[in-house]
Amino acid sequence: MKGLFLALFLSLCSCFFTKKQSFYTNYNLKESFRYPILSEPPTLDWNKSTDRASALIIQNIMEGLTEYDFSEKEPQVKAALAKNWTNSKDNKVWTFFIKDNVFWTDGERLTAKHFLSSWERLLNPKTASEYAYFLFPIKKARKYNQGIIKDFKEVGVKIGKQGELIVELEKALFYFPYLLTHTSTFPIRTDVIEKKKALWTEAENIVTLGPYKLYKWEHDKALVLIKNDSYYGKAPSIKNIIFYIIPEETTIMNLYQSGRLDVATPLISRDLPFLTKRKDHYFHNILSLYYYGFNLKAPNLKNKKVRQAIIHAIDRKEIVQLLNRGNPISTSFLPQGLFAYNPKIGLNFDPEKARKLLKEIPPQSLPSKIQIFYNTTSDHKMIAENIQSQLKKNINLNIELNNQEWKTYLQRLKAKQVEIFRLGWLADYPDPDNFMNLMASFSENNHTGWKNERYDSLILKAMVMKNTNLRKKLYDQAQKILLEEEAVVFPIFTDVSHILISPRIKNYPLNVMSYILFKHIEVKQ
Amino acid sequence: MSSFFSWIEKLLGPTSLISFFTLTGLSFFYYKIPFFLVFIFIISSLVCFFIFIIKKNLLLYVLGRILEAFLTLFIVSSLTFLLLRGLPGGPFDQEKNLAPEIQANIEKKYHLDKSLTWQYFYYMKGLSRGYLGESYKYTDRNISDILKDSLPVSIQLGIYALIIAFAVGIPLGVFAARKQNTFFDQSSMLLSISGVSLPSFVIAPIFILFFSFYLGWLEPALWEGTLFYILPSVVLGLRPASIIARLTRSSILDILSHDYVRTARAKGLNETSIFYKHILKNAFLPVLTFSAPLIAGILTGSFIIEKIFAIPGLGQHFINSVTNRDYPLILGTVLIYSSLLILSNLIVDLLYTYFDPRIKLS
Amino acid sequence: MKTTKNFYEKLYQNKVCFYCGLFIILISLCALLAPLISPYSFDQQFPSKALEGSSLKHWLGTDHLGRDLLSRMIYGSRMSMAVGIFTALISTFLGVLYGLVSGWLGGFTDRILMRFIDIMFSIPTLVLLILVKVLFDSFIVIEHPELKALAGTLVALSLVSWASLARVVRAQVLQSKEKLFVEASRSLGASSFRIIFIHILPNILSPIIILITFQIPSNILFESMLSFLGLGLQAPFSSWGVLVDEAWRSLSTYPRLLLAPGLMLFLTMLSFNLFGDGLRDILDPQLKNQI
Repeated sequence: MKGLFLALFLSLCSCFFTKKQSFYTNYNLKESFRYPILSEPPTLDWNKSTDRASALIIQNIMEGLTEYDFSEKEPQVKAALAKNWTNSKDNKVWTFFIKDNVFWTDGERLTAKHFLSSWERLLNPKTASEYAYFLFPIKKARKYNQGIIKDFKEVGVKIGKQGELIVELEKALFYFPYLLTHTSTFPIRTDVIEKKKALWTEAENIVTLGPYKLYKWEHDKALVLIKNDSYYGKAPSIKNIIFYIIPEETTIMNLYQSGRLDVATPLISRDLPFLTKRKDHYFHNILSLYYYGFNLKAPNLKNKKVRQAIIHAIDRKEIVQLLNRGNPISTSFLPQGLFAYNPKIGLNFDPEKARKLLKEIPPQSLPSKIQIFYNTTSDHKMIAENIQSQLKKNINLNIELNNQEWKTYLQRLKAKQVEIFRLGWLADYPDPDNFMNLMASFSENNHTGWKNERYDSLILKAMVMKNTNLRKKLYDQAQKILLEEEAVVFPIFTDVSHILISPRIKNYPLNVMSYILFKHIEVKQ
Repeated sequence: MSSFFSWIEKLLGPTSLISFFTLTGLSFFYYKIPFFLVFIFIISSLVCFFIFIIKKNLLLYVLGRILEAFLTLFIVSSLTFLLLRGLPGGPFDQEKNLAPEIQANIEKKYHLDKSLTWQYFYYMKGLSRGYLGESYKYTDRNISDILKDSLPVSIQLGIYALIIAFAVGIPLGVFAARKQNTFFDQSSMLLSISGVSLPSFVIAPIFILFFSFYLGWLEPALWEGTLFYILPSVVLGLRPASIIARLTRSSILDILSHDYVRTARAKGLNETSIFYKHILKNAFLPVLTFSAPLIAGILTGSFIIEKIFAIPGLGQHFINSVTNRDYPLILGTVLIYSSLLILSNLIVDLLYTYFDPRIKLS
Repeated sequence: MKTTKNFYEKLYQNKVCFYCGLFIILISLCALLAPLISPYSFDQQFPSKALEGSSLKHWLGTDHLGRDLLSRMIYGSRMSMAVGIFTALISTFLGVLYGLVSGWLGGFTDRILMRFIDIMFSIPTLVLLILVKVLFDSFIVIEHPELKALAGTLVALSLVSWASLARVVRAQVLQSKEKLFVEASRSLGASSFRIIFIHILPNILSPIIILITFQIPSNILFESMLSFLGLGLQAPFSSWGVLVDEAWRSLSTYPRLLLAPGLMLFLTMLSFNLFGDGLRDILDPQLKNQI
């Protein structure tokens, strides 16, 4: 009995001493913006992060030398941490002058040194960063990353006399400032990293300089950003940004419906016919291409005519209608909204021609059955199923579907154990080179096994050229080889992003790169 | 000496129980967990546990079981390690293929360039010092940190579900057995067999539709307070509750037919006292057997429930780590699960001797 | 002969069990005759009619691809039942074999074998399932499309579920080993093989049969769970789990899609469970606390 009383007494005491926990759903709504992310950001170390969830957060707590400007038709860059920049005539040496009124959250002033140490860290083989290749255009940077050069001083980056950052490139590259919008090139405080080791990205340790700062990071659950009072630019209008980590699209939708989120994205494609009628629905293109590729090493697909016939036999409109997302179809390998996009290039839907092409092939060498490989998600499944039925209907070609778990699929792709495969490409930076490069013989992402010297030389020539009509012509030629003459890949559509935005939110940035800076957003009073 | 023991036991037994339920209650109403209460709970239950072991002379037995557990964990981790490395695709394969030199740098960092045997011994060496390695997916995060963040959430949800399971299951089974073949019995058994037959991923959407969209009483997802806790706990607890109800009923009916109950009845003992003194204690044994795997399974989290309700628990890591090929994280989750299973098996075996003193463990 | 007749009589008397059995037979017929009775094929698309409600042409309406939901339900029963039944058979075969060997040999072998089962149990089921399925799907190539869609799930489920069966069978073998008739035939010099298959196996047949009936619903459940996680059948085949998954994705917009597959899954599981209960009461009432 004594024990019972003692225990009860202790418990009661504890009840008096404790308080309610604060929770995010109770934040002042007028000052908060609630946004869903599909997965826990793997890391907020911007030299190492690779995925979109991390990038979204880093873009808002940090800034780079440049940032995107979407006020023009095609994406441009403008200065952010850089005051301005100059380039030599041959586009090989770039000089960035850094703003002198920028301070980190711990009070230290930003200098070019922070860029230098960030880039050294990014390229250092010991860091093992996946995005080290963003700085490969810099002179000898690749060699440093490979470990051939041990001394970073040999790499083409140095600090000038007035504290400016001077970058020397391997090859002339007029779009170099585009690369500097990427999170991996943002300045970093190596002194903080040395002190806090792997824990430096936790909310209590991280040192940043963007419009927001990381206030709280409850792993797997939520992140909270709060307005950074020492930000050099115009203060953002919303005080708190709450990122909820929600792994299921359906759950995101459920929470949006019950008013727990201000934005619902990504939306489930089969819900779209219902959602597009709503007033809070918005959609826009993104620089991302969905395509099918042919493995030229597969005996069934060696014949050019088979490939051309397959492309001619597929009506992209049907696929797009089926998806019901409002995707613009694309016969071109460049997505809509990018420089040098040309809707006239590529093979069109023409079942007559497809049948004719097949007739030209001796019947014994016609493939009896071709396999389509894709990774298991419902949208890929839907598209593959539709292509299967279209090919059966239009050219009486038997297709076998072969879906695989994601990593198995990638391994098969690498080992070229596929016939027709699906892939997508989201632009790293808004330049056609980022796409055209994929199918070059030297690209790691060319899974078709296709090699063409003419194509390679065309895109290498175009790469170092300024945005002019001549450059566009070069890309047109290259695309003709890739898509029409050789029919190596089969672009289907440009991706779109659908989003529901709560009516209480103003100025939500919608752009082709899905580059979201929360500092522009406002809440209606 | 023994009087001192029993005095401590009398003092700490209820302390442990009450502090446990206070903790559960506090967390359910989203209060901060007072640290000293956790401390009291852990100390009192550990001391009770040791006294129990010493009193029953089970010290050697428990030590033996612990030794055995280490062997099992070793075999489990080796087996999983081997199976994992047979999986096609590596942790750093992705849509955007990496340049060979970058791939090489990454492999060097995580020792993936070494031979498999080397990696195995390296991992085991770390494991023997309690180091579970670094996650591949969550760059620079230790596996133990990831587990430390997610396991408490799963345990919290699991305890709510278990409380529902036992608090609903046992009374339902008991009353059904007492009123055998009445309408109450039949309807509650139909209810419980429906509970067994309803998959959680069917019942969860229905509950969300009804309770949060139609009625608007409860929250459809997230993990931030009482209103958020109810739906997932109920959905997770439903199936075990039904199974426990059925087990309780059938084992009570089984015991009712035994001789000693007849003897007790013949002696003219009060029916209610027979029921609660003799039958219930014995009828609890089959339920106990079922509880061991149930507890381990529920405490380590249900992937489906956590996914549907966006709960930041351990369950998600069981699947995601496999799809990401995050080898250390898979091994970590598997090891956590097996240790919990082994622990709950041990505790259930010990509880057997408490409920039925005739059982001898050796 | 008399016992069989007795069995049917008892079965008929137990109304719940009887009707559940009937329902199971009905579903199985549906599954077997799917190509004959379903109005459309499971993958025939009517894109213009996507997401329509029920009509005379499409009794249960259509899904997001304009496929007839009723046909997908009927073909789905085929896959779900196939997984349920075949997995139960394979895992029972494995489990019975393992249990017999372990129980009969006893001693050190028995201890090692049982320890292995303990280890199997210590690996989380879902992880083991996924590991086995991914491994199987990537290394073994099957040509037949329907079989190919099923095979990974079948093998993974069987490999996961045999262990619990083996335990029960072993316990039964240990019990009947002590019985007089076994002792008698052993003293008469009968071979182990003979004793196991002539004397012991028939004796433990009824618990095995009951175990199979309980295995089936749990397999159906696991299959639909895998499908719900997106790890189940290969497209475009459907099972009830696939359909529930598809319905969950449009829960806030088209909740009615959940109704048919959810209900079918529930009813089938319910009737298997009730049927198993009844069967146990008839065949072997003492098993109540073991299974």
